[in-house]
Amino acid sequence: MSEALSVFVTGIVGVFAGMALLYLTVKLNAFVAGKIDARRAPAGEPAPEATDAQEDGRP
Amino acid sequence: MIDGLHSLLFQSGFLHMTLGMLVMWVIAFVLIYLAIAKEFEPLLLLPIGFGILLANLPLSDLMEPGQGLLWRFYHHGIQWEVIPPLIFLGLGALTDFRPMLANPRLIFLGAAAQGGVYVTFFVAHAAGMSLDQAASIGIIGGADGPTTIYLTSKLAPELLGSAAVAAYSYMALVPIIQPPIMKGLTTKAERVIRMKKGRKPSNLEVILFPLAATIVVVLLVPPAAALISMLMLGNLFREAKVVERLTKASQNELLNIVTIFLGLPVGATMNADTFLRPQAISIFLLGLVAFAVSTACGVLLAKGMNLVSKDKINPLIGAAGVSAVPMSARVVHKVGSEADKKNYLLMYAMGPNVAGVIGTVIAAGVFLTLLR
Repeated sequence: MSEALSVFVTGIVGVFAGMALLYLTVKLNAFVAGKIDARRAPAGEPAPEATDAQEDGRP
Repeated sequence: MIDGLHSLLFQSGFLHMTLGMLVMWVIAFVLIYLAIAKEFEPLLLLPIGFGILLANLPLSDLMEPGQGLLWRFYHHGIQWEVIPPLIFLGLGALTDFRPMLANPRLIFLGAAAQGGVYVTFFVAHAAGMSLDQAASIGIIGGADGPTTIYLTSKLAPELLGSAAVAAYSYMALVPIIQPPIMKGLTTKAERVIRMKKGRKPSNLEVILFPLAATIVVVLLVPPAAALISMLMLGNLFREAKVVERLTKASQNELLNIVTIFLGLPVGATMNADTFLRPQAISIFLLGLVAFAVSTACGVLLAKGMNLVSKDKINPLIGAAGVSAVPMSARVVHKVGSEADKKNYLLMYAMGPNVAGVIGTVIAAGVFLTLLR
């Protein structure tokens, strides 16, 4: 039973830790993508952002 | 001639039928009926039901180790861990992670919804199941069929049929199981909360995400590499927009083909001798507990986040943290629109919904890390 309790606690902590890491990855990913987009955008223009059409996969 | 007829009669299946097989036929016909007449997860329950019927036809030897056709599907497809990752490839090609990327804090709702997995794991073990069996039952709460099959085939293959049928049955019953829990844990005022619109992730961001997520999740839980890598590869196909043929093949032909080769052998593992035991009923009951607790954990965490967050979350979307995509997100939208017709929750609910898929994979990876 103590082993089950150990797996229970480790499991919940592990999933939250994993998802917290994913959260940080998403945040970092957005930051890096934003920087790259800003560098690629011509001076004076805002960084490109996905349009609804692009998000739907339409040209 | 008489001897020949005598021999034919004794080598036919009729004289080898058992009561247990007839009971399994009834179960097979019920699943086939639900799939066809009620459209309950028909893509899986139909081949599973037919697989059950085939496994309970005497002397057919379809599941004879080393010889039977369905055994070969089972051995090379599931035991060799080929089919569940291929299903994930197709799912990745169908999944849009933008709702999650637009509002990253919703990721935690996908984590909370794994609470039912671990609560049920503990309860199942307390009820007398081994740790491996308890993990295979608990993962049903993640509402992710391929992950349930993947984990169960590794930890407790003797429970594969029951766990898979329970997982897909409860996924089909999302519109019935989740609403009472969601309504019971929220007030009308909470159900009408309108959420702030998230930002639009750029194209570069959605292309980089599957690469980054693969690295992070595989580093964290290496045993989940097969599932998460295929999920993210499929998503990279989709978002890169340069391999249209591969994307379409993953979404359609490949996914459809492997679905057939997944359902049939899973059903065929359910023969009367292994299935008709009190344990099977326990699996279905505990699976329901897992699913209900997962739903409740998601809703409760959303309420908890509202205590500390300026931008309020409609707690109903916490229920979408279970990874029944997109069914649970649709249910959230429906329950939300009952309280406020103009509150469009679907896209918000898709955030925790797709996060829940990753959360269930991590939960399975944690089990494999700790128990293997």
